[in-house]
Amino acid sequence: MLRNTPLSLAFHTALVTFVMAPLITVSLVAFTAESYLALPWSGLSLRWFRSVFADREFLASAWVSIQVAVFTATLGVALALPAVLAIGRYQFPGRDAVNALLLAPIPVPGIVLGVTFLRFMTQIGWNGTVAAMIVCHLIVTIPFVVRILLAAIVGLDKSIPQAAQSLGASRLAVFRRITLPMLASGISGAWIMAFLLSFDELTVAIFVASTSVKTLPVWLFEKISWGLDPSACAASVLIIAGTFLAMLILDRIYGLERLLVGKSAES
Amino acid sequence: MAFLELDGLVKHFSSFVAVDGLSLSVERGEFVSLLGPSGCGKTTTLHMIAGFQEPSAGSISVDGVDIVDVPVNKRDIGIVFQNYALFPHMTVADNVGFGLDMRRVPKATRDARVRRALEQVHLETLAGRYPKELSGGQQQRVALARALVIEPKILLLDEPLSNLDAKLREDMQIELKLLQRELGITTILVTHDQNEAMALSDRIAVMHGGRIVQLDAPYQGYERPETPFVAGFLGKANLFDIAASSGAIDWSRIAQSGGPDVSAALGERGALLCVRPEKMAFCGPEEAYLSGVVATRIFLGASWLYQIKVAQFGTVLVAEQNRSASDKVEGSAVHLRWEPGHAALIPGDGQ
Repeated sequence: MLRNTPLSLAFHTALVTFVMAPLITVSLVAFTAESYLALPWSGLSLRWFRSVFADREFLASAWVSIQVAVFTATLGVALALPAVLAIGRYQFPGRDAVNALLLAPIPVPGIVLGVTFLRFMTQIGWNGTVAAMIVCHLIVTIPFVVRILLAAIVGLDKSIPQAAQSLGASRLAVFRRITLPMLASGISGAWIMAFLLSFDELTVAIFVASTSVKTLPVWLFEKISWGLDPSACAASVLIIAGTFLAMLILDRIYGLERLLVGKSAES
Repeated sequence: MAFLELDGLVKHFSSFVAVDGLSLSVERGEFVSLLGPSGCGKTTTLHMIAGFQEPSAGSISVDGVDIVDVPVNKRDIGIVFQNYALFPHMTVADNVGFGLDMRRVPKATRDARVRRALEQVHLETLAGRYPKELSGGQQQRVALARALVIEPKILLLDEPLSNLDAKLREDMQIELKLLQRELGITTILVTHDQNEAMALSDRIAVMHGGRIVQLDAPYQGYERPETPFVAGFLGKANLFDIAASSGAIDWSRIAQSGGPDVSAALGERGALLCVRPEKMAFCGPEEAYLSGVVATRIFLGASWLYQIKVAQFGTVLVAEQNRSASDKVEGSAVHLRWEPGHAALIPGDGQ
C-alpha cells in the first residue's frame, strides 16, 4: 500500500472537494424555505420535497425510469449471458465479429445514437413509447453488461464444469448447478450497472422521449430549461440518494473496485 | 480383451499432432501411469478417455464397449484434477454428493455414501466446510472422495499431487495406493514426476512425442530401459556410447568380466550402455572400467552423490549409499566399475 504524501493528499482533497461541492450545494438548496434557489440559511423546509411528490409528472417520469431501467437491465443480462458464454468459452467462426458488435455502441457519441434512434423509432411508429426507450437503453448499456459478464466468465476455472460433467451432470445441470451460481455476483453486478446507466441516461432519452413518456433525467432537464426552482434540487437529492443506495448495494455484493477498475477481488 | 482398451488413438489440433497412434491395454483393477514431459500427449490422452476431447482417429473401449460416442456425463469415469476443481459455492459434503445427486440417489443413501467416502479420506469432520477453508491436501482429498463416491469404472488422476509440498505428497502417495488397492479400481495417472509414477503404478507408459515409447512395470522400466529417452526420464542414468567412448572406457575388461557382448551389439547403428548412478562402485585401479576425478560431491542424507569428470568422455554420476563419512573430496582421483548384470544395453537409434 502506497502512503499518501502531502502532495497527493492535497490533490485528493481538491478532487473530492470539486466532485462533492456541487452535490452538497444542491442538497442544501433542496432544503431551503425560500421560493428561489438559496442556501437554507433563513430556515429549513421540506416544502420542495412536498412539491416534487405532488408533481404528477415527476411521479410519472420516475415510474417510467424505473420500468425502463428494470427491463433494460434484465433483458440486457438475459441477452448478453448466452453470447458471453459462447465468446468466453469457445472458439468459433465469427466470434470476434460478435464480440465487436456487442461492444460497438461504446465509441458512438450518445447524441448520434439519439438522433438515429429517433429517426428509426419514428419510422416504425414506436416513438415515444416505453418499449422504444427500453430498446434504445438496451443498445447503450449492453457493451457494459458484456464487459462485466465476460470478466466474470473468463475468470472461471474451465476444469470445474468439466468435473461436474464427469460426475454425471448434463449441460443444463452444469449451467444451473455450477456455472450460474458461480457467476451470481457477476450477473448481479452487471444488472445493477445496467440499471444505473439506464436510470441516469439523458442524451439518448431526450430524443426518444415524448410529452407523455419521459424518463426522470428528461423531466429534470426540461424543468431546468424552462425555469429553475428548488424543487429541481429536491428531485436531484432523491435521485442522488437512490443512486448512492444502489452503489452501496453493488459494492457489498460485487465490489466496486472490481467493477470499475477491473481488478479481480480475492474472495 | 482388456478392461480399458485404447486402440490407435490419434489427436491433432489443426497441424499439431498431440497424440500419434497410441495403443494401450489396461486390466481391471490395474494402476497405469502415463509418464512424460509436458507436450508429450499424456493429458490429451486422459482428456480423450474422459470425453473432454474427441479423438481424431482410433477407439476407446471400456469393458468391451466403445465409448468414443458416449458423452462425458454418461461415461462413469471419476477424475481428480491438478487444481482439484472443487465447486467453490458448495460445502465439502455437497461437493462429494454432487455426483450422487446427478444419479438421483435417494437422500438417505446419498448421505450415507458421502459420509463413507469422507471417512475413506479422513475428512468426516470437515463435511460442512467450504473448499476455500481447506488446506491444499484437504482439498485434494475432497476431490478424490468426490471422484470415488460415484463408484466409477475408471479413475483418472491428472497430476493430482503436484500442487502439494514434498512431505505431504509422499504421505498422499502411500494413501492413494492403499485406497486404490482396497477399492480395486482401474486407475490411470498422468504425471511428469517419475518418482510418483514409480511409487504408485503397476505399469508405467513412458510417453514421448504423442506415443508410448516403453510400457513396463516400474522395476523393469528402470532396470531395462529400451531407449535413451526412457533411461533419462525414469531416474538418472549414465549413458555410454560404446563406439564413441572407447578412449575413456576399458571395454576389453568389461568383456572379460562377462558383461554384455558389446562388439555384437555395436553393428551399424551403434549402441549405448546404461548404468544407473547407484550401480556404480568405487574400486582399485587394477579392476576399474574407467577412471576420473571427483568434480563435485553432494550429501543427500541417504546417499552421497558424486559428479566424476572422466577424460575423453564427460561427467559420470555416482551415488554411494551413506554408510560412513566420505573420504573422496573434490579433486581426488577415483576408479569405477559395476557388476556386469547391472548394465543395460540400449540399441542405438542411428543418431
